[in-house]
Parts: sequence; C-alpha cells; structure tokens
Amino acid sequence: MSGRRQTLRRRLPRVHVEVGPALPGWVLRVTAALLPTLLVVGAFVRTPAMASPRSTPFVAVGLAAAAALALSTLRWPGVWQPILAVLASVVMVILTPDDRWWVLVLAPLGYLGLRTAVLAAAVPWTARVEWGVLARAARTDLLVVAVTFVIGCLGLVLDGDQPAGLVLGSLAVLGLAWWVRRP
Amino acid sequence: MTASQPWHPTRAGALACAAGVVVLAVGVLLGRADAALMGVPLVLGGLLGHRSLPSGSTDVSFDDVGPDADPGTIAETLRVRAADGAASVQVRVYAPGHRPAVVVVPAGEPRALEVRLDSVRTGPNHTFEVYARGYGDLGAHAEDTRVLGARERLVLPEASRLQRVPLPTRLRGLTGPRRSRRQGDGTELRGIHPMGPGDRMRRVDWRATARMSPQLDQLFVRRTLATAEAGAVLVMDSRDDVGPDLHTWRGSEPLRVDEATSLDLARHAAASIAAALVANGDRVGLEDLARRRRPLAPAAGQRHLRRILHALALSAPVGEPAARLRPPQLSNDVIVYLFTTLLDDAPLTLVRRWCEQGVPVVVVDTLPGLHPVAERHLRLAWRITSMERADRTRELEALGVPVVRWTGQERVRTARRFEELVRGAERHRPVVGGRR
Repeated sequence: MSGRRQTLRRRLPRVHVEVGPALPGWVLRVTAALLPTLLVVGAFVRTPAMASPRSTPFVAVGLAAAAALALSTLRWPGVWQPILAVLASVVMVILTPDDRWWVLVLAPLGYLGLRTAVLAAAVPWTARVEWGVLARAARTDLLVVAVTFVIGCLGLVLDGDQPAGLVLGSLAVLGLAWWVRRP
Repeated sequence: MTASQPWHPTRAGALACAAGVVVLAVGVLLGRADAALMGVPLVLGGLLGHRSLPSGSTDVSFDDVGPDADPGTIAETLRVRAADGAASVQVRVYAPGHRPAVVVVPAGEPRALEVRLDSVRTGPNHTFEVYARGYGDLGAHAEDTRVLGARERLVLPEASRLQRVPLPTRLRGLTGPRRSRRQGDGTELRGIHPMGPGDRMRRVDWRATARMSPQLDQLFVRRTLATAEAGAVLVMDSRDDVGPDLHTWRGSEPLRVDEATSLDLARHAAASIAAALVANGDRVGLEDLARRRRPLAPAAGQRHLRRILHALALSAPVGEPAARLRPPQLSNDVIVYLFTTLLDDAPLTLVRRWCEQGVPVVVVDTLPGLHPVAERHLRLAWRITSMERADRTRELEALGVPVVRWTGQERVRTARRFEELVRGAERHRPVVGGRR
C-alpha cells in the first residue's frame, strides 16, 4: 500500500462524549428505511392487482419502487420518503375495495415511519440517541396511535360513505386545516 | 450564550401535517374511511406538536477547569440545560483534527456531559466547538443552533525520566550539587596540608597532626573541594513545525493530532532534559530561535522548571523566520542543547559559532520518522533533503558535537546515548569541572 493511500485511509480520531444508554444513529436510519418500505409493500400486497395472474410486472415495479424508497432513505433520510410512502399506500388502499381493517395496521406504520425518518434525518450514522429521547417520544406516539386506532375502529364500523358522514368529515377536515394554519 | 432565540416550526412537521390533511380530505371526498384514516395520525401528530411550542432557549456552557492540560487527553464538562417545553437537545461537538460527535439527549433536568479528545500534540490547542439545538415535541419545532467554543488549552510537554545527561566542561559558583576541582567548603577531601594563613581552626586534623608532627610544632588541616553547579541552555529551533507526513509540509494539509510533530518532539525532549537537570540541582535556561524575546535565564528549582515548561509549550513558529545575525550570546560555562530538525543550515552556523567560543553543544534531532510516500517528486525531494541532513550531521560530528535522535523508534536509545556521552566526558576529565 502506498504511503499516500495509507495516510488517507487512516481515519481521524473521534471526539468522545459520555452519554447514557443510547441507540446508534445507523439503527434509526435503517428503521427509517424499513418502515415506509413495509408500508408500501403491505399496502401493495392487498391490492387486486396481486390476485391477477398478470401481476408479475406490477410486483416487479412495486418491489423496485420499495427498494428505491429504502435506499434513498438510507442515503438521504428525510420527510419526503415517508410522505411519499403514505400517499402511495393511500392510493393502493383506495384501489382495494375489500379488507378495510388492514388500514388499522397501515396507518400507524405510516405514522411511525414518518416519526423515525424525522429523527433519522437530524442525526448522522454515528450519532447516539439516548433512550430517554425515544422513551419520551414513544409516550406521545403511543397516544397518537391509540387515538388513530379508536377513530379507525369507529370510522370503519360506521362506514364512512354515508352522505351525512361525508359532510361532517369535510367540515372536520376544514376545521382542522384552519386550526393548523391559524397564526 | 443566554440570549433567547425564537423557535420556529420545522419543515418536516408542516409537510407531515399538510400531507395528513390532504389524505383526510381525499378520504372524505371519496367517502373512504379507510383512506382517510391514513391521514389521521399525521394530522394528530402535527396538531400535538404544533400545540407544544417550547419557550426560552437551550443553554450550553463549559465548566472552568483552567487553561493548562496534560498531554494525551483534553477533557471538559459540558453543561446542557434545555429550554422549557423542549423534547430533546441535539449536541454536535467538533474539535480540530477530530471527527465530530453527535448526541441527542432528552430535555428536562440539566445535563453534564463529559467531552474529551485524544491528542498527542502539545502547546496551544484549540479544543471543542459545540453546536446545540433544541427540538420540540414530535419534532414540530426546532430552535436556532446555539454555538459555543471552549477556551484554548495549553498542553504542557511531558517529561520522560532520564538518568544522567551531558554537563558542561566547566562548573560555576561555589555551591551546588556537583563537586568542583577548586578548594572550598565541600565534603570531598582534597588533601592534608600544613596549616597556613586563612585556614580555620575547625579544619585542623588532629589525628594527622599527631601522626605527622608528634612534637606539635606544625598543625595540619584537612582541605576539601568546593561544590558547584552546572548550567545548561535549551535552544529551541521552533522556526518550523513538521509532521511525519510529507504531504503536510507545504502547509496546505492539516497536521494530524495523533502524530507528534517535530515541535512536539522538541518540547518533549527539552522538558525531559530540563527535568533531569533540575532534579540534580543544576541551572537551566531557555532560548527560542523563532521569537525575538528575552530568553529565560538559567536558574534552578521546580518553579523555574514549571516556567520552562510553559515557555516550551508556547514556542511555535511565528510567521516567516528572520535570519539571525549572531547566535544567542551564552557564557562558556554552560552546555547548549539545541533541538532542531536540521532541515536548513542555520543550526549548523549557530553550532559553529558556539564551538568557536568553546561552548559545548549537544544537538537533539527532532525530525519525526516519516511515512513513506508514493509520489515520485516527493520521494525525490525527500531524498535530496535527507542527503543534506546527513551532510549536516556529519559536519556536526566532525566538530565534536554529538547528534542525538529523539524520535519514536530511537527515543528508547536516547537515555543510553546520553549515558555514553557522560561516561565519555568522565573518562577524559576524571573530575567534572574546570580550572578557574
């Protein structure tokens, strides 16, 4: 090995910071790459296209898209990959007329994918995230998932394609949007 | 670091919330509760995050541990106090020549984080720079980054233990730890002599008198040798500071912190020799060739040693070195230890002048062992430079000046080499000291 290469190959020493029990950044990044992929794959396997005998091209395209999503999350973790995964899974859910209860798995998966991606985007591979940070976030996330589950159960039981429900839902969405955007 | 900074919503939080609202709207418009449900957690998360806006600002500070540090590791305690309502604080710690460390700690109780860096470099060291940023619940809000720099630390050179080091051929003074060849009030017997003017009564040796003059018509006294001290001047050639990687010699690439440079080796060698001399009660002075300032005059004692260590740590190249018209003026009863890389002719000129004045000199070669290089032009340049260095070393040895290497591989042999020099001096001069 040449001297130049030897010099370049030797990595600089690292600054040490003493922290408590922590999760490495790469675990977060891998998790952030896996969750949206699982969401897309999970939504895709329930679509009618999968039941068709000519589904092979669809499967190939779906798998390629999922792999691209995972790789892009690994390389450039950010919020747009999980949002893209959620939007893609919504399209697939809409295309799936049956098996509506499966969405109770997909919705928390999408949310957790987004949360993990936001956290992973803020830290590099070698970062360490103390378990306390994750424990604190887990409490809020658990609340969000529980509320989603309850709302989902209610919505699916009441069957949302009634006209009254549609109007109420629209008003609720508009109210939420106003509440979010208000100064 | 306590000025308040506003918190602002993050792009990620806003995008997630907007996506959730869109999904909800699509689900409602299509009358699909299952599709709408996909947007519910995004909107809920966004709302919860939006409602929990932190107040105040994250506060980071370093504990004051003083400016000095020991070589090897520099440590500081970083105190982090998160803003009210924040969920976590991301702390990025940078240090020159190191890869940064990033940690995320939960908000709440103030935290004390031990940060440290490993460096073999001595002298003034820039240490840590910290970037701290608070995040709100669910990452919906982020704080502007707070930047904090730790104070510069002065890493004093460490002294290796040396047994005996070469001394000047002439001693000075009438007191000290060494035996002079002059008559005086020491403890070493010089001889028995008939009592004469100036001899004190307490020096009368009654046994010798009884043996040599039974009639007591002549008194005999014991005469002893005086004591004296040796003086040494450490001359630091700190005009350049080169590392073991030839690529860094141009100054375009930074020196690694885990490799000692020529100046680090010079500081270490000088500190070791100074410690050995001071431990024996001798006087040590310091002269820095790169700086036009008053040299440290030879003195003894631990406090003076501390002063020398500080001066050694502060010696560094200052701009373009000016040519010296004459060497530092030294008395000829000191020995000069010159710490140099021998990369130019200036040290050789100095040594010649000192030798002409009868000042004994020991040259300590502090050029570190070099890494092999692949580039042909660098190999060729180093070959020429090393041949020039070899010529200078030969010329020094021809002048009777010993050249001692002080690098990683040969440092072990240095103590033995010094012992050989001391024994060689003793063989030629049975008693250390000179006539006055």
